Amino acid sequence: MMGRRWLRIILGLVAANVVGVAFCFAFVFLFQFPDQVGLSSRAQQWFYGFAVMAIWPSLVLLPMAMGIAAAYFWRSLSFSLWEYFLWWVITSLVAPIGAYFFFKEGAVCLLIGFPILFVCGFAGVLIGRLLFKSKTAAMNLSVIPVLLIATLTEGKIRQDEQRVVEDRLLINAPATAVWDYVVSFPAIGVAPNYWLNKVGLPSPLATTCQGAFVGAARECIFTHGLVFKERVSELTPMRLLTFQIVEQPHDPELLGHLTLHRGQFQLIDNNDGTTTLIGRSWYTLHMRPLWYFDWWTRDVTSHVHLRVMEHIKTLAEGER
Amino acid sequence: MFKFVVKKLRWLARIPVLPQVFDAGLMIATMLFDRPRLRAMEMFENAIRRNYPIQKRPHRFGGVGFFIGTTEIGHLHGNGLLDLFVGKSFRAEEIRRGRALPHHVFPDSGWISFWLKSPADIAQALELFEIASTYRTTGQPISLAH
Repeated sequence: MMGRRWLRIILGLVAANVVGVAFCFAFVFLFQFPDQVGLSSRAQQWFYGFAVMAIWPSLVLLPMAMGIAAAYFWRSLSFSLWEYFLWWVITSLVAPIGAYFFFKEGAVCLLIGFPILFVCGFAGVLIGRLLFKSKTAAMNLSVIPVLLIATLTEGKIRQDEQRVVEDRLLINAPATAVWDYVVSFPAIGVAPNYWLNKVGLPSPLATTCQGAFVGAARECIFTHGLVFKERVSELTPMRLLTFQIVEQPHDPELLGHLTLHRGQFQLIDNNDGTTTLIGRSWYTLHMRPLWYFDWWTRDVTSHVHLRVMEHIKTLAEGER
Repeated sequence: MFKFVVKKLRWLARIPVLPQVFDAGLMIATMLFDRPRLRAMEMFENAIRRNYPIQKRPHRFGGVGFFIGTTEIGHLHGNGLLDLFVGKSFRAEEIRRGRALPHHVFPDSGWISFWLKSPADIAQALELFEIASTYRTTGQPISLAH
């Protein structure tokens, strides 16, 4: 009796993760399929169109399907709500830990993704515990394919688009004093105070630049040895510096998740000895659901901006 | 926060599965920070299951819906808020006596709200449920001796 109970618990745990992994592998297969069978270019175009539509595994609906799958196997165990919760904690940890060890996924990305995976998955468990308590349990299983279809279509209604994050900081120094540190700045000595940096997210360290001219190579150096290679594309001394990101570091936190296009610093002379420094970054986010990951991206980017801008402020104000 | 979401962001409830996700968040918060309330919710659900020929289903606004056939008696949110349909006349009386609150979204309807905070609230919640279930199944309000 006890053995059967444990078997059902483990079956639920495995089923949930199999649903998750199977769905992700299905996407990989979708992208490799046209090359393997040698489809014509038009057919390939259609196929990739479908794959792009389906590729973004929704972190809302997929965990719900996982939760429902787990609840199906746990339906006869008379779990209390607390037991459902505890077993879902364990079940939902399997996928991120597996992704970290076997797929070399970035720890910070997993940390960011885990809350939504956990909450949406638990919503699935709660729905599943009600669906499968009734006599129509088998029929109610049909909710899983419905959720998967909904997951596929979520990608279709949300296309990639370029977004921008903007931050402003008042510096008690004239634009002439600020400008030199905008082009490049020496290493930041102060430890970051953003909690994600403390758990492993790289933070900006220093910037080097060939010179204050259009076409100059620029490097933005982050901790953990990450370097963004940039090229100055627009420059108006004391007023504006725009740079294109020509090469992103091959970091698991970024690869396939986020593309950074360009950055910009704008200086506004307030004519009272102070300068308003504006930092902007343009990016495209490839993660879904967009509303969730965009919130994180804006928060992280804003902290990067402000860390650099605060450093520039300290240097420029120290000159006075 | 719950009040803000149901008052200002009610339109979000039209998005499929979002209410269920929100309710799961409420339930997780209850589990982590308010165990007496969780115990009360669980005891209430079990008492309902034992005493009534009721079906529990996911509710469209999140939480557990209690149904007899297709008729909804009420629903319990993940934060212990119990909403019951008792009809307008009974609603007015119970609110006047302070035994229930006006419904948290539709205060002038025949719905009432009741907070399950600890196992001590179960007896009163079950009384209200009895009234709601009788009203919904017979169409007649009942009066209980208090």
